[in-house]
Order: sequence, then structure tokens, then C-alpha cells
Amino acid sequence: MSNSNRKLIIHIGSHNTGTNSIQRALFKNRPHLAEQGISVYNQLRDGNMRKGGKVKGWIDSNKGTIYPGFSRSLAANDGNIVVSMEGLSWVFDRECIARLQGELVDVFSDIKIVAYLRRQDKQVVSHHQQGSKVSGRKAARFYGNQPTALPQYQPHFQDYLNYSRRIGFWADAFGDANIYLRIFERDLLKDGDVVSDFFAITGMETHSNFTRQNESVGFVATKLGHLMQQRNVPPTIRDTLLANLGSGGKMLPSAQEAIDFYANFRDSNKSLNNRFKLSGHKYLFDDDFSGYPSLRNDLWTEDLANEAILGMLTAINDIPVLSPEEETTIRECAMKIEARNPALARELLRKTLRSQP
Amino acid sequence: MTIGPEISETACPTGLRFERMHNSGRKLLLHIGTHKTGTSSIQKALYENQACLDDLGYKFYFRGKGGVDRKTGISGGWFDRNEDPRDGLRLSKELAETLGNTEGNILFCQENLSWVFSRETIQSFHEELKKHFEHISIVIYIRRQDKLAISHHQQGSKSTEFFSSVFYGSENKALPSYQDYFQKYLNFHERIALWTDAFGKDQVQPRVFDKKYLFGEDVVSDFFNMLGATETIRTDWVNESNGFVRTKVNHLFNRIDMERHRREKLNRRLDNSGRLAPLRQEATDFYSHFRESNCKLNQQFNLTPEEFLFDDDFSSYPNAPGDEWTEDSANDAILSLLVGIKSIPAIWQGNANILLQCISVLKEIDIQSASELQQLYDKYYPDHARPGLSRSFRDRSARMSRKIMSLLTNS
Repeated sequence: MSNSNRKLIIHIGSHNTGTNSIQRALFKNRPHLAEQGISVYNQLRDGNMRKGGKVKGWIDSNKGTIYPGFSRSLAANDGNIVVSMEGLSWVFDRECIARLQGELVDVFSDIKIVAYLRRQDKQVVSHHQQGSKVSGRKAARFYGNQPTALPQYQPHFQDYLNYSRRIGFWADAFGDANIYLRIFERDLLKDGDVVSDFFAITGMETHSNFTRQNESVGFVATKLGHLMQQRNVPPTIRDTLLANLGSGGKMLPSAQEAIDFYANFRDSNKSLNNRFKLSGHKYLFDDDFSGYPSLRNDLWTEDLANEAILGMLTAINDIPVLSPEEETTIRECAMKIEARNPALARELLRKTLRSQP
Repeated sequence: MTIGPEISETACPTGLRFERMHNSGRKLLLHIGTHKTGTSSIQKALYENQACLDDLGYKFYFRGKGGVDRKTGISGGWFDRNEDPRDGLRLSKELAETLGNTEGNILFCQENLSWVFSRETIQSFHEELKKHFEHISIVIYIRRQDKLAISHHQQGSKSTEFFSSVFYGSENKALPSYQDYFQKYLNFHERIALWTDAFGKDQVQPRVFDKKYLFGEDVVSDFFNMLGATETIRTDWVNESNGFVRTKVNHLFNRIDMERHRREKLNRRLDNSGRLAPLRQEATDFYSHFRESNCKLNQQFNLTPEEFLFDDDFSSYPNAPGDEWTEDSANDAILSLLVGIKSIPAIWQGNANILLQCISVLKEIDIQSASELQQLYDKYYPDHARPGLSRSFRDRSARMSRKIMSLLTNS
């Protein structure tokens, strides 16, 4: 396969820097991008196409590596490719990234890596909140399930949040000149918008205007979400319990907590800025923590705890509960199914009676 | 039952022994409460010591209105709720006649008589009773109002079947916020006056529920001593108070009238340690609404040497809120509830496909079972064909959101 004149743009995140908006915009603009000779890659590992611009399933999150076949799958598409996959931010393995580069360079003559970076305290407040959702299981595993705005700092956070090291792996593999780093701050983005900014820096044209979707959830749902992760509450139950809760309020740490957390990453930010000359700030990002309250507001108050518990209880009170006779029916059905399909029988009992055969 | 040394003549510091009061004619002794003054323990002791009561010339009447005898010694069914909870309970007219038609001297112990606020009812009750009994005596234990309300409000959290749950409301605190109508129950001077006006002052004996004024420092011993028992009767204290988390969550259960089986399942998971306690100042403020009436009652009955009947010691209350969620207690409660919720055999939205798969398999094995499961499916997923959350589920969610906000606003 020749690498003549084929371009590849890989958007590697980070999480919670408008990636969903970028992916939606890419997907919606597929026809227009096709006219420009660009395909939006949205293939799953099993070969199916994903209904949307987000590419998932290629990252082995346990090992922090990319499953084999990703580069082959990219190469199998014709023309220039753009792929947006923030899951690549979970890749902490230098060799894996170098290997990917080695595989792609034979196919694409021009490979650009795009990453948006956000000051680490803000990044984690947002990312940890995402970890409270079903869709945020990886974040929950990484940051833990503490029902607070900021997780307590752990040394392994450096794997993700030490941008100098993590982005450095990509830059070492693909070359500094091919790394497009952007600071995720409204003032520094084109038109104050990450989608416009992404299209501008990658040189792609877009037809539509996009408004960024705010997908953050409120205080109560976030804290409950963390607690549900702790107890492995199945999505079906979770959806029911959360359906009644308001989306108001936002969990925030105190300014001092945020400063202390961020202090763990300042020096690495300085190294990254020295290497890529991204901003006039010595430590890459500004030192403005005025957006945080002086006292943390991520702990339960009497009213919020009552609201949360009442919301859950109201949902529980309203769901249909099986009568003892219906429980018996299900048990008998499960016994009959077991001979033919034991796994299905177990699933029936687990999901309805919450028990095992 | 513990049998102790014989009680001395001077061991009964307040009131008179009833057996000394009346030597002839039928006697009736009514124990009318109040709640949370050891009434359950007294009822249990009365039930367990009926032979002793026989010796004292009393028959313990504990049959309910429906003819049911309970081993707890609690006679139920004689009361109905008034439409407005502020009006307390209605007393069945049949009680007086039933007691009257029972042979012998009767002892009836029902603290719900404390919920009867109607002067006319109490007068009618007396009119009917006096047709049957020559001597009627009334005993009532009273407790300092802040302590009583805390205990009573906690009891109300357990179930909406307790009238205290509607009288004090389901405010998720140790002490309910003071309401003027609380006077109907907690103004002992006025409430006891309803009984003295009907039965006569000498027939009513208030007793102070405070160790230092109780014979043997125990309410059961005190009650039996008052009856003239020569043995010290004690029983295990029937104390079923809930702890901090369980009380707070149960107040919330009450607000939504939580279905009983679900409530029981969830309660089993909840921590039951600790106690709700109001701020010291809250307790003092609450009690201040009743001090003057206590003073009047004490002047009338000369119950204690204290000017305001009860002591003024509030030192056991904390100076920081002891009845509000903390980060840890709220997290613990929610985590426990989540474990309980997961164990409920419920039909959750999102499990429809499992049932469909099972129906499909069963059709090849046992058509009857397939049909039964299909009926369940049709019942619980009537509009599952629609993608995502069903419309009824979405509508229900919207309704519930409004309900929660309204519950929180009105609390």
C-alpha cells in the first residue's frame, strides 16, 4: 500500500475537551468532508460501523495499549482520513505508540496528531464527574469512585495528566512538527469554540454551525453516580433511580484543593511549554483559580442528601415489584430454560429476582 | 418478671395506692399514656403478670375491638383518625360499653387515649363508664415535652400507621418544628383538664416519667407499686428506637408512603446505630412553649418540687446539629439503600429483552410456561416496542420529579 499523498488526522482527546461535539460535527459533515476527499473513520473492532463519530473499542484499557489491527483498519479506508478517538488518551505505553507510527507511516504520508489540553484541576473535575456515569467506567476505574469533586491525588494520575510525558510519547513517535496541541480555553480557541477550532487547525471546511452540548450532570446525580459505581448498580436500575433527579448544581472543590492538586503537574506543564512553545504562561496554563469557591461545595448538605434519597426512594416506590406468585413463575421458567441455555436462565434470575439459580 | 423485696409503705412518693382508695363496687383503672413513657413495657408486664393482677383484684383488658387478643397486651382498634390530624383520634363509642360488660374490676391501658382531644368525647366516655363502674381512676405518665416529642417523632418515622407520623409530620429532624396545635397533645395541663373535668380531679393521677420520681426508678415497678403490688415487678424494657440513619430515611419513607415490603427490605440494610439529637437551643426553645402550663399542672397536683414540674437540664443535647446528614452518614445511607434496592425483585426498564429471549426459548420447550412469561411481559412492558425508555416510563419520571420537588418544598 502506498503512502503517497494520503493524509491522516488523529484526534486523541483529551477527554472532556469537547470531543463529543467534535465527533458529532465530523459525523454530520461526512458528505461535505467527502467532497474534500476526507473520510470520517467510525469503524468498530468487529468491523461494524458506529452510528456516530465516536470511535470506541480499540483500546485495551487494562494494559493502556491499542489492540492490533487498528492501523490496518485505518489503512483499509480510501483517501484521507480523520479519526477522533479520545480513548487514545488512555494509551500510556511509549512502545505501543511508536509501533502505531511505524505501521501508519507506510500508509499515510502526512499524519497529524491533534490534542486539546486542559489545566489538570479542571480536567479532573470534569473527567471525574464523567466517571460517575455509566459511560465513564474507565474514568471511574482510573480516578476511583470517591463522591467528591476532585479525587484524592494518586501517583498513577501522572500517566494521564503529565502531558509532557504522555504527549511526549506521541511527539517522539510522530515528530514534534506533527503534533497540534491546543489549550482548551474559550479565549484561546477559534471563535471561542472547540469545533470551529478543530476544523480550522486541521484545514477542513464545514457547512454547519455547531453549538457545543453541555453533558454535565448536576450535583446530586454526580454524587449518586459515584456511589452507584461503588456498588456496581446495573444500568437499568441506575437509569430508573437517576431519572427523577434534577440537574442543578455543580460539585466544586475549594480553590485551595484545586491549587494543591494542580501543583502536582505544574513542572511537567512547564516542560511541555518549553518543548512546544504553546503559551506565554510559564507553566502553560494560567494560574487563575477564582472560579472555585473558597469552601468546597462537593459535600452533602441536609437538603441535597434528602433530595437524593427521596429521589431514589420515589423511584423504588413507583416501580412494579413482582408478586410472590410471579417470582415463582420466573423461577419455574428459569429452571426449564436452564437445560437449554444455562446462561440465559441465570440472567433471567439475576435481572428480575436479583438472585442466582 | 423479677420478684424483689417487699415494698415499704413510703416507697410510693406520688399519689395513692389504688387498692386503698376503694373497698367496694366495681373499679376501673384507665392508663391513658402518654406515649413514650414506657407504656409498651407496662402493657407487656401486665400481660405477663395477670396472676399478680388477679391477686390485686384487677382483670387486665387487652382485647381489641375486633376481638383479637395480642400478646403485647395492646388493645387495638378502638380509635379512628380524624380527617384533620390536628384533631387527634376519635374514640369508638363501643369501648366504654365493652369495658362495662366485662366482669370484674378492669384495668385498661391504652396510650392512644392521649390522642383524644375532644372534650365531648371524653365526657361521653365518662357518662357511659359510670353506668358500669362505681370507681374510675385514671393514670397518666407525663414526660418533659422536648424529650417526649423527640421520642414520639422518632417513633412516627417508623410507619405512617403511627398517628405520631401525621401529627408531627415527616420533617427529617430530631425535633419537629413547633406548631401551635402541638399544644393539644403536649399542653398537659389543658389535656389532663379534659379528663379531670369529666371524671373529677381526685380520680386523675398524673405521674412524672423521670427516674427520680418513679418507684424503683422504673416505670413498670412504679405502676405495679401504685396498684398495690407487694412484689417488685419488672420487665425487659421494650425499647425499639431506631438509630440515626434509619430514623432519617424512615421519615423520607413516610413522605412518599413507601410500600411496606420494600420498606422492610431496605430497612434491613440501614445502619441502626446512633441517635438524632436536636441542638440544645432548639430543645430549650421547643420546651419553652410548655413551661407555663407545666407550672400550672404542678400547682394543681403538687407533683414535684420543681417550679415548672420538670427539671431544666438540657446538658445532654449537643451544641452542634446532631440530626443533619453529614457527608459520611449520607453516603453510608445511600450505599446501604443501593444494596437493598439491588435485592428487590422488581421489573426494571431495560430488562425486557431478557424476558423476550426467555419467551422465545420457552416456546420450544414448554408452551404453557412461555405463555405465562408472555403475560408477565405484557403486564410490565405494555409499550416496550418503542425505542429507549418507554413513554409511560418517561411520563412517570416527569411526574415523579414534580412529586419530589413538591415533597421537598412542602417539608
